[in-house]
Amino acid sequence: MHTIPLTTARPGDIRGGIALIGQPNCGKSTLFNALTGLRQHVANYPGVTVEKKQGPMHLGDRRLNLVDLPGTYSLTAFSPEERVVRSFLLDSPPTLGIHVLDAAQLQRGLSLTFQLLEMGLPVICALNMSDVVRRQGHTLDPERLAELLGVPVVETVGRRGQGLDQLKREISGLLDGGRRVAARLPRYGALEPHIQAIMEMLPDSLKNRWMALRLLENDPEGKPLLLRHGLAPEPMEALLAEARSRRDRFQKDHDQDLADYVITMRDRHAHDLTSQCLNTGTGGQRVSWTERADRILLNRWLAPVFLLATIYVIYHTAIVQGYELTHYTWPLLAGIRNLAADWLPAAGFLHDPLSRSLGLWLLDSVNTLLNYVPIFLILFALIAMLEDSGYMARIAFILDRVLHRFGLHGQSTLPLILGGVFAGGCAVPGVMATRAIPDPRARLATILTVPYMNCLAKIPLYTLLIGIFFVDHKGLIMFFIATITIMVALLVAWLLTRTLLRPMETVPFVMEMPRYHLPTVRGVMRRALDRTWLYIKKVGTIVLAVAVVIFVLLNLPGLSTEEQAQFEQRAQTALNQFHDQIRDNPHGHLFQTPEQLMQALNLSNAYRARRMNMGTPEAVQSLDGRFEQADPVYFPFVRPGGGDRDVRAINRALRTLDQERRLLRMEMQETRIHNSLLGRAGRALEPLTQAAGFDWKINVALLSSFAARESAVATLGVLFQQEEGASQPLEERMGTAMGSTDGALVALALIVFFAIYPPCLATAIMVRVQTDSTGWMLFSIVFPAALGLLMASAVHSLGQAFMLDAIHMMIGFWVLILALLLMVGLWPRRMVRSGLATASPGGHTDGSP
Amino acid sequence: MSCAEPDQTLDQVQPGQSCRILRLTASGSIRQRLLDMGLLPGRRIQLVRLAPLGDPLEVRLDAGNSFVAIRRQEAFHITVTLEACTPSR
Ligand SMILES: Nc1nc2c(ncn2[C@@H]2O[C@H](COP(=O)(O)OP(=O)(O)OP(=O)(O)O)[C@@H](O)[C@H]2O)c(=O)[nH]1
Ligand SMILES: [Mg+2]
Repeated sequence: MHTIPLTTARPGDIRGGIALIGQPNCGKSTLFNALTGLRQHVANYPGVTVEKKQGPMHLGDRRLNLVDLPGTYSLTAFSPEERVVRSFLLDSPPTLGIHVLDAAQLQRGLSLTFQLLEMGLPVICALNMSDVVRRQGHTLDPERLAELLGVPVVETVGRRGQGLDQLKREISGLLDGGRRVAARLPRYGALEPHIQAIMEMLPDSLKNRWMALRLLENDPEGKPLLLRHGLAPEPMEALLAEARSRRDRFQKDHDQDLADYVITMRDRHAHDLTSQCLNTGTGGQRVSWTERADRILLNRWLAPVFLLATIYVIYHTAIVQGYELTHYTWPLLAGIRNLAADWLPAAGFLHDPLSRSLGLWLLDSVNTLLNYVPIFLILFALIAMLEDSGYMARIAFILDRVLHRFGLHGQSTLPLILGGVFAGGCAVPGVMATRAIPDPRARLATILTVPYMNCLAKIPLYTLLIGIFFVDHKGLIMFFIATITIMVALLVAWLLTRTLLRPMETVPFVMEMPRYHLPTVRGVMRRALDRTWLYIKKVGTIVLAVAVVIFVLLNLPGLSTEEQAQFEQRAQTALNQFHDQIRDNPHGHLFQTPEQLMQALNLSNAYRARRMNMGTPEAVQSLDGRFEQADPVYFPFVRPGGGDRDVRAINRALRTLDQERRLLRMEMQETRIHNSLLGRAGRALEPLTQAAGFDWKINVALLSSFAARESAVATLGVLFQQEEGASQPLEERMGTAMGSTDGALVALALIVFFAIYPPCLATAIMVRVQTDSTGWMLFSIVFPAALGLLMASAVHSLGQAFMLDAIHMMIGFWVLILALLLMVGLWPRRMVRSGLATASPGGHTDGSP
Repeated sequence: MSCAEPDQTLDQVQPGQSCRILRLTASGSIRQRLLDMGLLPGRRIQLVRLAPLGDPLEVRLDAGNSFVAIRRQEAFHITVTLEACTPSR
């Protein structure tokens, strides 16, 4: 979002901005987008906009600054959104407020209109969602309402851009000082003399009825507000004392809470106005479309069925079909890598230029990330449809009971789905989506548990381990992984809520159920693209930065001189052997100098890398043609099984040499990692991870996967390499290296650890952003690491002690966790009815704005 | 839970029943939030349904135009009187 200063200095511009104010989900952001041409996040879900956003709006030759505010029902200071809106309106008052009203809920919205008018803010009312009113068979009379309120009233349909022209005309009119009619404010009967008295004492910048009423109502933030507006401490105390005594007097005289009295008066006035300008027709109460749909979708017995079906559809479309799509996109990415491999400085026999190894390393890291883009596009589009339709709020309604039990919130569902509850997702958008959760404590608990979900990047390691140790129990293990993560997450949420998060502020669960809307194709596409792009940008930059660091940590300080000499020696032996083999070959003169040899070897590697992407014989043929053309001299020796006897002999000798070279390079890399900083850390951690059965290699892989989880498999690949190209896949290599009986148990421990593994760096940074606290970020890393290690150690040691095989151990562990979960979930709940957290506004402890 | 017993809290109302809000027994942010959502003393509301697990409740207010979900915990703070005893389905 552009940040434009509230005041622009160009001539003809106005000071201050224009603010969009209104209750949650009434269409402010939709109007904002329509008026500015920007793309603010819009969703059929209350509480989407959390901070104020601004953008430029052109009106004739005027360039105005439009501000989109979070939704608020009123201007007390009980929720963070209200605090944002209120301090904005009071401390840097806009020139003009556009009060967006949900026309279908006029009476409720008007109460906020009155408060804005009482503040002395020039207001235009936009009766948005007027299409809904019409569909209900009702008619609204905006002129009548304008007359009654004393301010301009415009009917709009934000989604279709209707009424925008008239809205702009009214804005111009007000700015030109044209038709400004005195607003008509509600009267408060017996309270009026008190309001007048308090108003006398207010400083000029706050001299309005609203402020007087707030002080009479004992606003908890009255004091700091008055101080900010330059009132000295003594007159302030006098003012507050006066308000207090008048409040007491009024409440005693009328035997009623003053705040209640004010609200009731406003409501009565709103009712009065509504009944004068809303014609509900003769048809009486029609059952709305939304209610009819909810009778089925929220039916007690059918609701779970629809919910499961929805989750299944998301899983199937995004994850299963998305994975199918990656089969088409992966060759594209691999092609880019091959191009880069050609373009970067050529590889040497033992050592590559740094630019080459680092370049390819970075490209590989980015590719693994980009590989998920199709999945995310689909996933985000489906989620956008859920949000826009209004069903997301229903999911929150259905699941709140369960989630609340463990300290989460109905609205934790979306973050958990994005994080990948059962299937695979990404914790970064998951943590981002926690913004909509209104309850600070549940929100923090959600932020801290989303990383436990099955992020897509964890899946390659699972697949690898299953492929080695649990081929016969694939489905069972996948079920284990999917269910254990959510169970552990719920238990952790429960634990945190009862301990660390206990003192935090909570707010009651009172959620508006939005009307169902048909999602628009454009809106859904745009949001899916926006979110995917955000993911690429956020995760991409972090992954790149971290990949460099990990590269350094894995390569420094490098080989010792003796090791170096030893490898050189072995390389020389291999080369000598090659030259012996081709001594009498008529083509031998082509392979004399090291440059010639490297050309042949690099060509051979480039060919093999491309050949792997080719499916059909025709494709292979055309590939051969291209290589033939590019290098007619060496290609015949590189192509397997072609040419005469002499050519084939060289081909064989080359392949032997190539294999030897790879083996050497692999061993070198392993030695280098062993010597490296990360390798040392891995070895230093061995005593700690011993109980879980992790050796230093696994430790290194786990450490490097903190940067990006994908790299776990890549690092393991290097460390368990014996002879790449010798067609022994990583699965087998790890299998033999880890031993098969204890290996399975170690693999299970590794799976358990990886499931609970701390968030990757990108997520950790997102946690920092969302909690606005480095402490919580560190906690989100340290706590799961400790918990994961504890559980992995338990699995491994218990399995060894009781001589259980991995599958039995797994089932035992699963049953144990389930039992814990049921115990916590079904524990008879003490209904603490009266002692509910009566939060002190302002004194919120979560640190989020 | 019958007509003979008119004053009760909202969490005791049966689905389908309509009632009128008498008073709110909460204070602070809970009270404010309830008032903001339109749950004012004197308003007529209807308990539309319960969530599949019995909590939260869905309430219709504002003459049928707005629906609000509310946990039992919070519904307990709303004292209501039954309007008419419609048989619950
Ligand atoms: N039928 C109808 N739907 C609308 C209209 N204007 C907006 N919407 C839809 O209403 C929903 C809410 O719109 P938003 O613009 O996100 O609302 P908001 O006021 O910014 O909401 P918060 O940021 O949560 O306060 C979206 O699904 C919009 O597509 C309208 O005039 N008619
Ligand atoms: Mg918004």
